[in-house]
Amino acid sequence: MKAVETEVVIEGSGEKYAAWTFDGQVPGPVVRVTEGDTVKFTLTNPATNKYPHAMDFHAAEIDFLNNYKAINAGETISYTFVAKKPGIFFYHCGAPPMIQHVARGMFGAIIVDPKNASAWPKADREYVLIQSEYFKNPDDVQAMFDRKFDGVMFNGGLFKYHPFVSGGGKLDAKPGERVRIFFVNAGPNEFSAFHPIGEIWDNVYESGNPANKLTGVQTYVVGPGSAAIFDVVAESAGAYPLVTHSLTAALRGAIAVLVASPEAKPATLMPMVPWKISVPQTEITPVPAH
Amino acid sequence: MTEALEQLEGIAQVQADAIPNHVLIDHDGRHRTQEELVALLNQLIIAHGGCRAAVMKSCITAGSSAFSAPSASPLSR
Repeated sequence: MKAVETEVVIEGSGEKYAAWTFDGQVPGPVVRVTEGDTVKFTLTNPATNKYPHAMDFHAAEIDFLNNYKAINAGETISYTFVAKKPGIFFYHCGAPPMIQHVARGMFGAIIVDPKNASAWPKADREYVLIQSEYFKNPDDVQAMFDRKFDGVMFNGGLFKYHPFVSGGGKLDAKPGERVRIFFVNAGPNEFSAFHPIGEIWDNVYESGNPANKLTGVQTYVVGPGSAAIFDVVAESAGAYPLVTHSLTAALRGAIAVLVASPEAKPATLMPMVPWKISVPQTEITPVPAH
Repeated sequence: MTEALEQLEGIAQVQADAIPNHVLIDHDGRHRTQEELVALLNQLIIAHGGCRAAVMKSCITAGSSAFSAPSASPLSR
């Protein structure tokens, strides 16, 4: 991956944010491997960047001093690890101050599928959802330490999957489908209490390991830096908002509405990343010449 | 109905297929209040029967407190 310091859209009006990213997007790309795979990873920090960056894969079990160290602009680092344990894991930049590198968007998810595919029920639909706090001033590290967040995002956007908010989208599913949410809490500080309004989690797998199965869970706490897999089956058509039940976070951005409809179309693992907002034409906005 | 609604002043967006059995109407709040818009819509759709406009108020009704731009005021059928 490449460390890219760039602006990204984080709100339905098109508001942009000076983010630090993996490969130019927040969250970074989903990495997906199978239990037992060898992962060869290289991080490039282009010379055009201003800051050092690093990569910490929670799916790896390797020495952090040699592998997760920060590299300056113009440098690269490579390392290899075996994905020994199945699950959903966090990855993030560990360059100091790490709290700022995570808050500004340097995080993502790595899925390690179990070798035995029948270790759990087959999912009909899958989504990756990553929760993170939003700090309006990306340079205010003190605010990050003081936990004074201005909003909470799913997949790098405030109310990104909330169709009742301007510019918001939704997560689609058909009634009766087993929807598997690969959920990561990037923090940097707040806990998530993940809850499906109007539903109950069919199964929850701590860290996404099939061996860690819970059944019939209403709300499950995922700490910063942790992750879990959530299976839900919405039997009837309708709207089922997925929220963190820490309401100061939900009502400031962390609501994703799962809409069950027979007309639901296939969707990508992490929809609307990057978030592209089309600006409506008005009578005072000149139409570009073609 | 979508096209007719979009002609109303202050209507930013009409989504008829986002949520089953609902039409989401996004208005900018500058030309009329939510209540005035609801009254107008209910007058317009009264002939269709079985439809009703209302301001969406639920546990997920939320504005973006991080920005100065007004949040959407969705209505439902």
